[in-house]
Amino acid sequence: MSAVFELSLKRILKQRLTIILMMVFPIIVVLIPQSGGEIPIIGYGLFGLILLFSAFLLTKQVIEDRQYKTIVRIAAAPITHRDYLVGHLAAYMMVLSIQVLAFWVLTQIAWAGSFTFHVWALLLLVMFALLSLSFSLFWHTFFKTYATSIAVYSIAANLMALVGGMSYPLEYMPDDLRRVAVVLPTYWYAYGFELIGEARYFTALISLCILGAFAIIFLTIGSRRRFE
Amino acid sequence: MLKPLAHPMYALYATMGILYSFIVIILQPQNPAVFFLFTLSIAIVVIRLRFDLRCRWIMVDIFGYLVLLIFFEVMALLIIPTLIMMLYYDKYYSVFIAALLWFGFFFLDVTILVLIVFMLFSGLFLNRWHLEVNRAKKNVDAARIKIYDLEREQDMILQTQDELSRVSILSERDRIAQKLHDDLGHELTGALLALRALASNQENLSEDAMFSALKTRLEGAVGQLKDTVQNTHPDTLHGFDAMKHLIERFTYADIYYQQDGDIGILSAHHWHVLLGVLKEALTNIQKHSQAKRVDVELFISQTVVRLMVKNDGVDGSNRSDGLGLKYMRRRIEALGGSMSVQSQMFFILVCVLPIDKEVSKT
Repeated sequence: MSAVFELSLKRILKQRLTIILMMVFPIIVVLIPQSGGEIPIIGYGLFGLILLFSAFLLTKQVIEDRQYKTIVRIAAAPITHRDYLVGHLAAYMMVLSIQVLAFWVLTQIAWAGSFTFHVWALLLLVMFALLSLSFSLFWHTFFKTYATSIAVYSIAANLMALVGGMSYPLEYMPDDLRRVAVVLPTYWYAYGFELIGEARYFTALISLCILGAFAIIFLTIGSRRRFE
Repeated sequence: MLKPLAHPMYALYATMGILYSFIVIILQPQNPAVFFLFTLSIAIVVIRLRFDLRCRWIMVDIFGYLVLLIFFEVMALLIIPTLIMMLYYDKYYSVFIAALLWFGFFFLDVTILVLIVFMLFSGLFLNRWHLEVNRAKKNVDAARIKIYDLEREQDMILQTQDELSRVSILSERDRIAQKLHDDLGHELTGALLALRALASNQENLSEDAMFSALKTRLEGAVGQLKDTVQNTHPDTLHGFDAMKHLIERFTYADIYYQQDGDIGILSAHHWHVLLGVLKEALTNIQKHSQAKRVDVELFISQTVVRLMVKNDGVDGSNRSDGLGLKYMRRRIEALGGSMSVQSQMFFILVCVLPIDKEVSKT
């Protein structure tokens, strides 16, 4: 597993543009002036969108392995599919965790909020990073090529973020839309920040668990071995 | 060949998708706790379907659902997909759980009744389809195994034919070499010795040119015959020599050979079958037994030849014949013989072949 992990990390480091974008965008989000000096829910929402795309760009390797038939050669090598998957996901999660931690440290400096709020925010961010990773893996299973996958994903992820209330405060969301939005994990991420902003930590914990359940669902479906 | 999209498993996935969509429309869950139970239920069903954990674990889920039903009425809806999954895997008692749900908790709830009816119809339909596909798969697998066995048997028959014709050629060459050596060689050597005796009695005869030429030609003929016999005699071992070589080469356990009767009456055909049986038996001993001692007995009478291979390495498992022995049995039976295997105290393999005198002479 460690060999796959190392290899995957090396491959990530070769995607220099991705790494730069992953590090630059969170800084831009932190620098955007937030309204009213309150807890910047929209800033966290935008970072959530960045996480969705960062995870997608990282998992590019998985779909490309399938697209260029590398997965067939890997299947002939003495490593199991589980090792392959765990090694890659661990590497992606490590990179995403670094991004989340960097962002979190910046928010400590730049944004308001109590220590408890920031701890809960970190928990939500890490869980959403895991969810983004599993969702990207799940998404890739429906496509044969990376180009098609990203073309549709860029629309779907933006729609999810918009409908899920990541780019505006949830209080402006119409009730009818909210009934639909609850089925999206992005809603529970945005709702989670609203809850910890209001110090309703038990409900925020449920929100966190919902994100975890979504991650399990996507990971379970997305982890199926496919050769085509 | 079944098309992948026509598989009942995909239909089950689709049914689950429809059912959960229906449930979320009914529930419209604004309450985070209810939505968490909803996502948790999907996660459990997805895991069960993905990892094929089957019904022992599904029963644990059912128990969990029934316990949670005391606190959350919504569990009555969320239990339905799991009940469909149970029906799919032939657990028909899920019908009783559904009946219990209806009579025990939601006697007047039409939505639950509709879902239970949907569960019964879709579950039973998918279950029948699943059984049908499994049966078809088993039939296809059995047919494939049969084809594979037949192909192997065909290869073996072709190999046997080649081997038999090779052995026939070798034995014919051996017979010719023996005939040349025993009959012609004997006569020529006798003539040469007589000539030499004559030369030693009559002193001036050795100076006679015609006598010298005759002697030289006769000596040349004896030498040429010797070479011919040597060249004609086959290098490859066959018949009894091959059997002896096989026994001597076996080092896996102590091997003892006993023989009774005239091996000369056995044909190339007999030797081929006997060698095949012995080779297969010794290979099986090496592969599957812990034998310390192996006994090989060859008994030849005027009417039958009997080969027995006995070893003390019985491992207690009741193993059926492998493909090699199965094929040997068929060949022996085709020649009018029989092969029997016994594995109680010892593993004993006995092969009996009739001796057709007309065939044996060839």
